[in-house]
Amino acid sequence: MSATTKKIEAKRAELAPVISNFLFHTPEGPKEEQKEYVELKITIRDYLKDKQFRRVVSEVLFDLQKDVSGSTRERLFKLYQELGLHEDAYKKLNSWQWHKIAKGILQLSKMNVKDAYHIIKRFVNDRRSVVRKQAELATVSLRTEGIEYVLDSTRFAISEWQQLKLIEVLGNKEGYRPPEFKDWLISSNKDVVLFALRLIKHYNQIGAEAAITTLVKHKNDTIKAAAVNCIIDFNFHSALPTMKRVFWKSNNDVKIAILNAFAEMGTPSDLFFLEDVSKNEKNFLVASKAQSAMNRIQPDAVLPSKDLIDVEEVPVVESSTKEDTELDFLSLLDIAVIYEEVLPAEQASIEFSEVEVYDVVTVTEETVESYYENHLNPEKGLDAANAHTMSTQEKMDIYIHMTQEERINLLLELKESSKPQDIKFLEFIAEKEDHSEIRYKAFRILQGLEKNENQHVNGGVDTPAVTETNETDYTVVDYDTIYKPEDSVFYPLFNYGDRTGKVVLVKEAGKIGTDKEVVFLNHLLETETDKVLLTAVKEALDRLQPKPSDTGKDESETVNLDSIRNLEVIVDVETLDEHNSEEKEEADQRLPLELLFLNESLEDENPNQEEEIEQLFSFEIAPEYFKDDYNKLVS
Amino acid sequence: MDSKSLILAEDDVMLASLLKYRLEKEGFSVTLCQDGKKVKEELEAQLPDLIVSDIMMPYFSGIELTDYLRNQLNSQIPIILISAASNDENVVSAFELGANDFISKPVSPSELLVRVKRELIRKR
Amino acid sequence: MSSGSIEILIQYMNMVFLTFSVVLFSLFTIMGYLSARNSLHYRKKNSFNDLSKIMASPLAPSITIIAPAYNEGMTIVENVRSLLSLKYVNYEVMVVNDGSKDDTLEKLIAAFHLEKIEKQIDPNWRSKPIRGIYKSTQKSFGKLTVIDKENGGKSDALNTGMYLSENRYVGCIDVDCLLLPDALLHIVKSFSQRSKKKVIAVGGVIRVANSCTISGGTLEQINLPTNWLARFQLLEYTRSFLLGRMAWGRIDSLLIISGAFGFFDREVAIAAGGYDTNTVGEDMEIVFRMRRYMHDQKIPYTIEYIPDPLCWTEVPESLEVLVKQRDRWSRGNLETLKKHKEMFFNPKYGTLGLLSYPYWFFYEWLSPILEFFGFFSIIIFYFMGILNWEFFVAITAAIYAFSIMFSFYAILWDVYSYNQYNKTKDILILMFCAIIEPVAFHPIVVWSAIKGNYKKLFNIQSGWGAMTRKGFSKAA
Repeated sequence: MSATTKKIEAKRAELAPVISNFLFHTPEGPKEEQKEYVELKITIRDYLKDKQFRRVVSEVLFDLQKDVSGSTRERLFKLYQELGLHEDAYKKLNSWQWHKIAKGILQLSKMNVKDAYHIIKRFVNDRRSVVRKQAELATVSLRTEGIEYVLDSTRFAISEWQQLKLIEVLGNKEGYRPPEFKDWLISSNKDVVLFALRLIKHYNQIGAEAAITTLVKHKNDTIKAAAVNCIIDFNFHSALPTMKRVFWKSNNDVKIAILNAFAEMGTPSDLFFLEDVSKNEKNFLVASKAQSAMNRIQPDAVLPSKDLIDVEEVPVVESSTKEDTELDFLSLLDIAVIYEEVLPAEQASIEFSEVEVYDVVTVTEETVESYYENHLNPEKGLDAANAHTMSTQEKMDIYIHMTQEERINLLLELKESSKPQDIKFLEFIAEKEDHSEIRYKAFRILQGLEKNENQHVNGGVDTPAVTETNETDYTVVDYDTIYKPEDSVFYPLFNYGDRTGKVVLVKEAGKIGTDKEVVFLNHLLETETDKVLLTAVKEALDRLQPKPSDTGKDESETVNLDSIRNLEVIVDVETLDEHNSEEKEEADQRLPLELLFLNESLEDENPNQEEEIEQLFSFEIAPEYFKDDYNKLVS
Repeated sequence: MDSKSLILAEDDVMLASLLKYRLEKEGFSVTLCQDGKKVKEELEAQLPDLIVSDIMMPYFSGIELTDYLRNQLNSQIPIILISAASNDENVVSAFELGANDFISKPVSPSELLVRVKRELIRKR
Repeated sequence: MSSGSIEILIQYMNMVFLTFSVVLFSLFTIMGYLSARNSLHYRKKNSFNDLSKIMASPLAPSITIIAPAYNEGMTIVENVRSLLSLKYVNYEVMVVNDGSKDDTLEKLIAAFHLEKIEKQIDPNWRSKPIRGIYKSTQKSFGKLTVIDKENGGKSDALNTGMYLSENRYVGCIDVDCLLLPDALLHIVKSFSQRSKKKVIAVGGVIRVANSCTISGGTLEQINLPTNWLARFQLLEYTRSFLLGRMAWGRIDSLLIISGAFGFFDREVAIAAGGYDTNTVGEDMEIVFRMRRYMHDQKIPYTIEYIPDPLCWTEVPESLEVLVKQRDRWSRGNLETLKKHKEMFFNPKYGTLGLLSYPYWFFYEWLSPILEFFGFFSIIIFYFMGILNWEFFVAITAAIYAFSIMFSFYAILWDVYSYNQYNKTKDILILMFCAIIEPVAFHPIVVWSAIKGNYKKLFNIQSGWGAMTRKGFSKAA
């Protein structure tokens, strides 16, 4: 400790009993004490003529003010003014040196000199930042309406530290009732808006839902991000659609904040949006955030989170180079399209691992597009609605960014003029749209379309059955004779789910099922009575079974998308199977992650099922799997 | 009436002397310690009737002091802690370790006095 | 070679030395001026700042102090105890045991009643495997987290800490550093008081703790080191931290934050890629990279520098250890400069590319080499009888006088602003150090730099020079 600090310490120690005496003096005490008090008062008055002494006393009182509360504190304030020390502080306000002004303001506000309010508030827009900051704090501290004054009139930025300090000052006010801070959300000062958001959060003013949701559309990204964070705190579910709309127009910070919001509040209906983000987002951090959000909504949707220690011990799985398995699986499906013939799955997956990920996506889009152009009756002509002229992918992209109203209008139009080439698109809507009404509309149009289509190709047969209308090497047999409904992996699970669980299961079966599932679903179609469930079963069957329109043409370089999908799954599902052959065990042990979506419906599971479930989820990804990508990204 | 002895552990000179003044005025005999280490020495010499200690102190925090008193010395002397950090974590761990009362900075001397008296009555 | 061409060569070399010196003079003069301005401004600004209150606020930004420990068994418990007693609410102390071969971990477990906890770790993370994460069973040590991992070096340990921390800011410190209780308050304040720029890192002064009285994790008495080597280093540190970095801070071109006391915005640090595990100069390199990252992202940012004496450390007192340390510094310097060579006079990076980088290149890297070869050429010239005595004496005297002046300035400035060594005797000793430093201490620094450069150039493997700590607890 240096000499000066020591000297000050000594002086303080000397003054301490004197000040204590002043503060705790009561007129009722014994005579001796009264006398002492009066004498002290006279001596101190004399001493106070010395400027140096005044400074030390005012510093001591100032320091003490921080540590005491209650009546002692009030007495301290009174003593400060009684000794005339506030006059010195006032004088400082007229100085030309910024640090003196600031010091004066600080003293006046800390010693609670209420009369100083009107003088101090003039400094709120002072050019010198330190003066300004002190003035803001003092204004807020001295009067209840101070915060309103500052928010209304400040033209300068308010740093985070300053915001915290201001909130702290407000917090020190006894019985303080804050105004509705949403009034300042429309301020033209960016920092006032941010500060207001923080205040709303701090005071838990939940009435600001609409205003905050609107801020998500603010052109300033910082405000956007702050608004989103506020929404997360307050759990404003109503803001989710707005956030989806602004997502692609936001910077990475905002994107991550939005994804956090979905992780906190999202429902399975938002999974598509997140999947879309994880696929199309170029930024690694954002894309992986989307995946982790998916995981949050549906645990184990994407990445199994395993203890690093365990993972390290797992042998390297040579399957793919991508950072995300979900993505990987989907792209495997897509890549399959470009193969000239159906490869045995084990072989195929090895091949895929060597394909550059983003290249694959581009190839896939083109392929899918040309695929549709080739196969979906272009001779029928395109009418005015521009929807028909675009590729499914393009349509999807536009659709995602449409408002609900626009979506409804589009569907109304499509209802009148839909063409078979819209099937994929409509299926996409029917499956992924959050809004149930729109989903239903899409579904109805689809039903109509598919009915026509089936009649057209199959000559009036409208039961979606497997038909031998093509020449692919995919031999179609009557599966009902080979498999029993019990053979499906979904069968045992199905019996333990509740209604929603069952619907989810059926949907999943539709997405990733094999022929076994077709049998299983057909069985359900016969036995189930629940309408909702039946609709889902039909949908699933439609998905599973090669549609006539899909298999209509037999160009050799294209392969049925659905059959590939099925094939891929067959292998994986069989790997699961305990009775599988030696050969199959050698196949890639990884499970399709889609299966893991099932998790949700398995929550109230019968203990007997545990083993199977465990097996379902027991897959791992070797750390090497991610390493490369990460290193690439970093370097 | 013999005066109750009290250890006041507080590193801020001004506040310490103020509190000491207030407590002495009420007839307590107060030993002032500027850091935790001195408290420890003091405790080894003689146990007081009550301890008032700041949580944030050089060398030996108030929480550690509580721990030391209860678990090492096996003493049940009332402890009142003072701290600027009125965060839950500190309060909870202080109470878990056996602190009797807690008062947060800024301190109201009269409040402290009431609490000190209450603890002494309880002790009896 | 004809005598004419030798003449030209000599003239040419003289010119180089002259230019070098003139630039040096002006640069250091400007530096002195800038640092003085910055210090004064800083002092006034902070004269009435009530730091202690924010620390109680639950809104205070969270911060993690990461302290990598390798074979620190002797001092670890005392050091961690000291770290746990800082004045701040929202902080965590994360000790990363980097595969110590001694009983570092065992001592920690015993002293703080640690227990292994379960935590999911992203297999994505690229650091060396983590063996376990420990927390104390006692509430009073709730701020402590201990990570046990396989040995991967300091950078790897810091990266692991950064990754496992969930707080907004991370501090990377040497575990044997002594932080003053207010340190974190200053740091957090520096991070969040700006409203126009994002503060990505905060650095601070390192003070020399040799011979100081330290007890129970607090600095009781500041003494001038008794060891001469430590005294020279103290002088060096004062110049570099109080004048050099303060000046660079003034023009927002600070390119180095000491590895013993550096704080970062966690997200930015991770986004920029964390510490480079392939260099021994990781503390310098990360600042380069974070700055470049922010430049490339085009986000307004700054790096803050706190001149208050918040961090105290022991400097090596043996020649061998010192040479090893400096050798490593110069290698780190070279590696970093090489890695970021695109910044050299690159206007894209503003003053950083046009001023800071060239400064580091010429005066931190090239200067010792130039001095070294200059010294030998003078000897050769002398024996060849072609030494230009007048020029040699003049320029040597000028440089000598200037360097002493600069050191004096630093000492006096320190006395004026922080007044750490208030005995007149101490000041006189320091001044004496300044006078003999150019002949007594500087050659060691130059020699170490040459050694480091030689090693790097010829690819001789050498890691971190081990430093044996005497330990703070012993000094008590």
